Amino acid sequence: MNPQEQLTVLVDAAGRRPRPPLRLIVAAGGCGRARGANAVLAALQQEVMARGIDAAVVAGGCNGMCYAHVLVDVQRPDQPRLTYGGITPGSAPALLDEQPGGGSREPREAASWLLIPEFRPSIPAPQPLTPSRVPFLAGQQRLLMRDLGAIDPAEVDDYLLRGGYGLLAMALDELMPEEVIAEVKASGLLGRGGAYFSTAAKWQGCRAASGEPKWLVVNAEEGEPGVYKDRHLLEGDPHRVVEGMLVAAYAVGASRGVFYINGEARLAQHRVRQALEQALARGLLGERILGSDFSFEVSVRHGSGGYILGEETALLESIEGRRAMPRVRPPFPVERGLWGKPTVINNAETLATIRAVLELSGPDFAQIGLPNATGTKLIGLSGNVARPGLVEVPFGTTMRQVVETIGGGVPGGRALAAVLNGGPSGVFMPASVLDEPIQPRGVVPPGTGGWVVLDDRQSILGAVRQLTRFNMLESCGKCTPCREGTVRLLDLLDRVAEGAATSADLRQLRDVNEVVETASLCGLGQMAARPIASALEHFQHEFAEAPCTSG
Amino acid sequence: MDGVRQDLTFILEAFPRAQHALLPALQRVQAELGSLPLWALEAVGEHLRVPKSELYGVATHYPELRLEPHAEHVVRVCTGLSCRVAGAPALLAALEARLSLRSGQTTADGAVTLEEIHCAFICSVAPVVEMDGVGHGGLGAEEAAGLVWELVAPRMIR
Repeated sequence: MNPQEQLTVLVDAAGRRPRPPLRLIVAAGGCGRARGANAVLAALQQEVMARGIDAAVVAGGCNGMCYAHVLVDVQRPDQPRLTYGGITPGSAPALLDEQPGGGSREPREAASWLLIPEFRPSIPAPQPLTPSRVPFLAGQQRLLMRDLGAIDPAEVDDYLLRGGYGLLAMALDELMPEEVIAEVKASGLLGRGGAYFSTAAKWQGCRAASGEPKWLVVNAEEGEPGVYKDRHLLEGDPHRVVEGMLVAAYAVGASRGVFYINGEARLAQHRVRQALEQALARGLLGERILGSDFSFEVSVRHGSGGYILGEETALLESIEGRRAMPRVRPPFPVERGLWGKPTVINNAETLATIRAVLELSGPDFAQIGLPNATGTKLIGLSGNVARPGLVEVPFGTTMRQVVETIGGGVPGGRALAAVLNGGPSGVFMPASVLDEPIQPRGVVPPGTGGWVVLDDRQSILGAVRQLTRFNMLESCGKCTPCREGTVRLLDLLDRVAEGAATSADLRQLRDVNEVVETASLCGLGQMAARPIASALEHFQHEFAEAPCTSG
Repeated sequence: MDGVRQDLTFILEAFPRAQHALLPALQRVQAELGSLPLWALEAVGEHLRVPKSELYGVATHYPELRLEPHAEHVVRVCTGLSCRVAGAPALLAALEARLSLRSGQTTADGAVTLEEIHCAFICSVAPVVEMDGVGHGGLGAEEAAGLVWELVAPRMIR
């Protein structure tokens, strides 16, 4: 049997397993749990048992509508999928009252979305809501998030029944590794970790490099304050990232891998370990995957805090058992990475995109977004915004669309002062660029994928000091510009905040910032300059010189 | 300070004698002991054949690795930017008042440590308080203080 036939056997077996006609998927990701999802899960389970209904209550992931927790996704055969928001343990019985039982056992795709922002026991019949009627979904294009909150992340069958691992099987059957790389090249995919480097070029570099074994590292370290998108993906749809990892490994010729997850993302770690065990049990991982000649073994590692870990060469040092300190490049990891072997390090979001690339084909994927930045980007919204949550929009979407239409704008009648795009490595975007499109190296860069909205009561200078203090504490100390520079920058910012900065201090702030940006060894230092530089550019009035400094 | 020496063989024998097992081994030992006393670092080093200096370097490099044990309960208030704008400072002040502590301190009886963290990574449900590793989002200052009280009260009654 070839890989696709082998997969068909797995999918058929998954389809034959009895599934209750009614499925209640509770959004029990990290965000949902913090809003009481576990209590809702327990209440629903208890109620289902008490009523003797044939229903499954599932701990799922979050569909991104974090503002409406606790979310419950209700799925019945031949019925549109319904998503309820604002469910509490108390309203769980009423939620069940609304659901007719029975039906066939065929799983089906969602026909539409429904959201009742505040569910109450006796509300009128719910109205179907299409994206145009759910403002949060307006302009979103959900390639990666399609199944988030709609599937059981602890069950590989759910993933298989929605076409999961089909692209891996197709690639193993029909494409040579070089052809997979060509497809990814045609898609124009850029790495989503923040650097926006061509994924195909990275893969090609590793494929062409000599040395065995080759390694593939999944970077799900995600330690930047304000950024939480990889956690959402891994908590809600871990197999999508695993499938991307396998396709990537096949393409670059890697036989070994490390799935590196943030040390405090315990639920994501659990979901990934579960997913890998299930994939292994079904022959989707390990020796001779799906009966092909491709073998891949992977171990899960997690960090113990420290922002520097997300830097790719620091991550490699950590895997090898040393302090997380970046390496001098060149050589680049694709040539000499883990234990000196060719290594590809891809962000979890990048790998989650691979399935969409192969599903659509490279050229069709390239039609989404902008010519020089294709596809979609995950953005976690938080701060002074009406609808905080996880958003997926094509590149080229305006900042206004994300913040105002999707996010609902600044609440409480306040005005928008700025959006911090990214955490301590991010830039401040003023309200004047609201109509600019999201594009790498533009005034509204996609960044790492976390936007913190700040209203007009917030001090930008205060925020800059907080971010700079973080960078100072997290600097690993290996290179002087970052280690000493961040301390000096914080001193200068403190002087500005005290109203004691002279014009020489302000000049020095710019100078030191430039040195830190250009001379630091790795991204932590280079990026530490960005909040300061962008704040100086757009919010200069907050960086005033002391009144009488000419002396 | 260093606690009672224990035999860690049953934990360590699961790890290969190689430097790459260093971080997983330290994480596992800390999960078992609650912290990494110096004797435990030595035991890990002996098993992995890694010098003590290297172990100490790694153990003090990663913020989540601790040489000293935590209090019985750890309450962490996220004061990252998203939480800050959502009211984290008021929340922290309420908890400081309720526990009669400053952030970073431990109660005299060693029951509760109150700390600030840079991010809890559930920014969409800010402000966030973590109590013994369990996240709570969107709490008001009084609600949070109430939850902390529930955490501490059984001990005070005992």
